[in-house]
Amino acid sequence: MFKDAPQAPEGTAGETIVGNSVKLEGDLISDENISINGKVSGKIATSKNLGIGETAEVKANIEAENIVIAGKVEGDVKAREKLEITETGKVTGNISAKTLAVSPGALFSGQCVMEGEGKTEEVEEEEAEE
Amino acid sequence: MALADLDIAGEEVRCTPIRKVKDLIKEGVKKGYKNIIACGDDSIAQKVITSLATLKIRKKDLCFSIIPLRSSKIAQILGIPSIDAAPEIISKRRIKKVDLGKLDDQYFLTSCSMGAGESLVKLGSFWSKLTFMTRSVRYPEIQLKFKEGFKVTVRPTKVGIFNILDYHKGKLSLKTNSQVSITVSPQDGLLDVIIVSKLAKFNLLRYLADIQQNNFEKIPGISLFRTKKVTISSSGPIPITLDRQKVEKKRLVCQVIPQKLNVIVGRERRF
Repeated sequence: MFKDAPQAPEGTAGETIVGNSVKLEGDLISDENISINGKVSGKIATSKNLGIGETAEVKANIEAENIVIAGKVEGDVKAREKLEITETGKVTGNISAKTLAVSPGALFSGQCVMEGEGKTEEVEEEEAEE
Repeated sequence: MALADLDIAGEEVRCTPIRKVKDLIKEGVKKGYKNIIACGDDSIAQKVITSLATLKIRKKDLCFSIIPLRSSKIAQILGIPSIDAAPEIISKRRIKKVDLGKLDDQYFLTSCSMGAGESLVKLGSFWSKLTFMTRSVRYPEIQLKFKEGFKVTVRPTKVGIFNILDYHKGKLSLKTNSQVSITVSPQDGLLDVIIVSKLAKFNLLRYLADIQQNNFEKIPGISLFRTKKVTISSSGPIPITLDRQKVEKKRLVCQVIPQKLNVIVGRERRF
């Protein structure tokens, strides 16, 4: 009963916070860290970090410096530095990042572009394994 | 210590049913007074701030301050801890330019709040808490349309719109996995919108005092947005608190008016 709502992954909670029972529609464009635990549809862009918590449901194209995804994302994801999909993360869409970390149990369906190496890897409905 | 002890001349005027705060201020400004000092609590300070902000005569060096005759959050924020300290602080005339929030046609220095929590009273005794548990709480769905290009829909316990926080030097730490510390400044040209989502009954009872005192640090599921302007609407009436007065409205516009007011502050100011 008193259990707290799951929050965005550590290190990425920021100055714009979308709580778990909040529904946001439109373009969320910011120069601050963004932490999402609710439902978002539209576009998300920040010059800083983005954290998507376990309770989050995002239907949006995303761009940020570093991104940690622990919730559900439908849309293209672009991390200028590091993209991390945790064991509870589900991503449907194309992703691009300089550094990519996918935990065991994470779901990813789409195309992956690793910047810096000019290499494109296609992955479909694949569950990451150890 | 009185203002006269510091060689500060002034005119003392009182509101009457036919001489409203705005009329008195207009008269004072026409006479060339530079400092408008509210004597009393936040209620009178709020009226003076709104009157100064809506004054048609523009004077660059016109300042607001307060002598707190009773407990005053605004005095605490400006760094005027007591009636005894006020004359000296006012005589030093340390001036800061601050933003004001504007809710429809009313201006505010600190904050305004709305949502289901505003219709709840403070719960003291065990019996009042027990009675509370048996009552149902109405959570009207509220839409907040932000000038920055997005729209938020929520059934909130509370929506607080802050120009400044009245504690911790305006610093706020929120409960997330990592520590989030933000500064709510009345000089950044932005309002901070803090939303406390609908809480389960036991959680509402547990955090009600914190919600009412704007102590958001322990409360789960907080949302935070920074904005220049937000339009708030609902299909039903939204309970709103501004200046300790409770009203209900279906639609309202809240915006920041940057650098709108000169205030005289003390060293212990909270921004």
